[in-house]
Amino acid sequence: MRDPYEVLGIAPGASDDEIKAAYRKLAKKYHPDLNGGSADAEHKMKEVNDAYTYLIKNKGQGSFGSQGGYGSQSSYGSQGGYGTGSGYGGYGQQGGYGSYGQRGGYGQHGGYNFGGFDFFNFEDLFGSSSRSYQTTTYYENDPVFKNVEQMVLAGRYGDALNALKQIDQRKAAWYYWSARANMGSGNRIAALNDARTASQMAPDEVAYRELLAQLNAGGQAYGYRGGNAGAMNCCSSPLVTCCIVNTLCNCCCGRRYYGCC
Amino acid sequence: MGKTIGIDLGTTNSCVAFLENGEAVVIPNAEGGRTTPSVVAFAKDGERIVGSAAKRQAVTNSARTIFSIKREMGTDNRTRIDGKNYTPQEISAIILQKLKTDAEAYLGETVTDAVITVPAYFSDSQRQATKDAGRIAGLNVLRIINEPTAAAMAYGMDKGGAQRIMVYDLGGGTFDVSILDINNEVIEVLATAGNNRLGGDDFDNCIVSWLLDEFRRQERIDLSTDNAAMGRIREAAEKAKIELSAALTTTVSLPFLYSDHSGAKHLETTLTRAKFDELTAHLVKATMGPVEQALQDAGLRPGELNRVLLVGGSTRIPAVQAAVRSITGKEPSRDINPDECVAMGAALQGGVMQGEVKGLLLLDVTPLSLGIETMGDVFSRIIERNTILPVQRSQIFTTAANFQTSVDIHVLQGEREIASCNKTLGKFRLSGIRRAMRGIPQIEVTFSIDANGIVNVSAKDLGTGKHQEITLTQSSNMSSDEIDRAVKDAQRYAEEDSLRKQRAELQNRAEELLYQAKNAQKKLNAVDKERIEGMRKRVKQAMDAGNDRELKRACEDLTDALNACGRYVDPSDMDDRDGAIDADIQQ
Repeated sequence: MRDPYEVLGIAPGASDDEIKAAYRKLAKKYHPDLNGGSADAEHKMKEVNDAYTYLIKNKGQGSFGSQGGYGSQSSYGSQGGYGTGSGYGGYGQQGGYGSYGQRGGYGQHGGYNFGGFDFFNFEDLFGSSSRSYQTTTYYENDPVFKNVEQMVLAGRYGDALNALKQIDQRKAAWYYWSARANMGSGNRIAALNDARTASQMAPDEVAYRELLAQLNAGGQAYGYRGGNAGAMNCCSSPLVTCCIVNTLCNCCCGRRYYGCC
Repeated sequence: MGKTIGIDLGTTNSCVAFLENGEAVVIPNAEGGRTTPSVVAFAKDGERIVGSAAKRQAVTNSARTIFSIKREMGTDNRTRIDGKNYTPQEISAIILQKLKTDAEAYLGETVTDAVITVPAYFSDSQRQATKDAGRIAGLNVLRIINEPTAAAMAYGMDKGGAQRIMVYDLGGGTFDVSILDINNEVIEVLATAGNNRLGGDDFDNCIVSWLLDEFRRQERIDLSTDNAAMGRIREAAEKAKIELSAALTTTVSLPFLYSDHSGAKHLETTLTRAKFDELTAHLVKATMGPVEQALQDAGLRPGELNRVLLVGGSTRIPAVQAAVRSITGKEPSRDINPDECVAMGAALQGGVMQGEVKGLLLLDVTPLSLGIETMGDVFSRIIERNTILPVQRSQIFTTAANFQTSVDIHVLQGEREIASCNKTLGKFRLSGIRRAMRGIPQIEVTFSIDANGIVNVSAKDLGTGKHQEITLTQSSNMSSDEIDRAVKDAQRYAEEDSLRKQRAELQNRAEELLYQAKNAQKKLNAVDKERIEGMRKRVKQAMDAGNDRELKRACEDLTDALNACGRYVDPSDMDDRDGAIDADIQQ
């Protein structure tokens, strides 16, 4: 995978106008319409389009997930391919793929422990997205959910799911936590279904909606991750480490990830 | 290589343009009109009538006249005429064929390639259906482009500097709104939104139902089942709508609309613009949602727009203009012709693709999101709407059940979260996935759309490397065979049409000769008179018998005979010297 700034032939941190001007110039050069429909030109144009979309169209969209937001900036990675299997493998140990997208969801807990490694404030990772809602609203005054939350946060997704099974009365909160637990155990489809139900039962609850949006974008988010892993040639250390280093990189650089790696 | 034309295949009217020295020029049709009504009729003898002639005869032949076929594009609807089922593609092809023939007659050379426009909000299957229609009509469709984009191209050609424009396109049957960024001759589509089933026809229908109510109130008679009356009412409604764009009131007068034992019933009433606005307020309001959505998708506030272009005949309605003015805070531009700019833009795009127009580039977007169905009837988007083409995106999916060895990839297009509410583009199966617990296999699904908007979907099991793909080039409701058959049918009909034309010409020539001979006889001696009389009879007999070959021979003989006695006048000379010849004969 190439740096989108490099694809557009501009310096990292270029202004929007510079990016747009560079893009237009390249579009005139590579667009298949102006190249007799050549396949090479088309391939090149796809790359240019992706870099441009990454830098311009998806930038600054605070609502992670719903508009594509950060999750679909990831799609830039799709050009770079899936990357090496090892990158994926390392990731897999953290609880199944697809779950990377959720980490955004955990952003609200800022600095909670994930895979033995302390996240920085997620504001770094997500740049402009400022989330101010509280996490304590979805217990529906039921201490059971407090316990479930502890389990989910501790990564004991199986325990959380078991605990949830004991509860007969299934309110929106139940589906929310079931979705979170399923998400954690890599069961994206079940998570999506539960999140949907939660969202339907309590359409006004921002957190439920956000979770659903994250899940909808989850696969894409993974694509981002996978792409990075593939590109990270420097990480030849064991798989898990690779993953952590990768994530660290991600965190430190925030949106300017491409620039520094 | 023949000429390339740009075609605006509209719901109610169509328009053709071509490039002349790098400028788009509208081609008038055989009847001299700059737009051609998109109406197809089948006469009693099976003859196909297209355009204004078809529209004119609609009242007396309503069951065999087809209006607004564009609304059916991409559906499975069939029109049954004389025992043959016509797909919407085939009916559209009849219109395209007429446009092509007229363009060829005007340009004096064959037309092979075309760029055809569709509403920006057309789905993939509607686009494919349009492409098929072009193919059936014998056209190589270079590109399907969006109508608002085409309008912007026609507009943006010679406008320097960077600007953001909104194109509000309310046509006969579809509504589109696009926001574009024109800079340095690169036209970038920032967002599109719209409604495929909202247009001028709906405004007409509002008037029609109002008129029906009026008549019911006055005469206590329901005309809605009377085809002939409905035809007249519809015509009057359209006329009233058009008049109300300029006048504040209009009179609808339909004498002898109905008759029963008590005598003839007439419908005469006055429609004011205020009443019309009241009847159609919900339609105008329905266009505002897409406008807001497009602005939001483009990330712009109305104040950031430099210009608002109105396209499509229905934007002449004052209430529509007022609504656009109030939502954008801009006075809409009037420096383009709303009926012709789309075809002109299409011709320009044809020029770009053939290398005739330099420097101009259109960056189009996909109007609707694309994705696949995942468990629980969930629509998982892979390419979001308004993504610039060409594009390629991948996402990884997994299995839903333990030891699942195959997955069905159900390719969908639309904006609904529920898969079954979106439009199916195609389906295929990836099998041979390694047996594993659910959630373990990784299946990478890649969507790729080329600059022509052709979608290719592939699925790859990253574990085994097994790979399967589908290219969506055919509209789902017409197979390749069906299209080939339709192409042949269309060619056959084109031949029949030209035969019919030759016959009509022959008939005309015979009539002309008979008239000349009759006049000539008055001044000839008895012998010549007798000889000419014999030949006249022969021509008449052949005409009555419908024997074309004999008629042709008889006509030739009569021409020779008239020539021999110096009384033949070439009809082509007659056009120029009409008066002189008449005088000659009168001597």
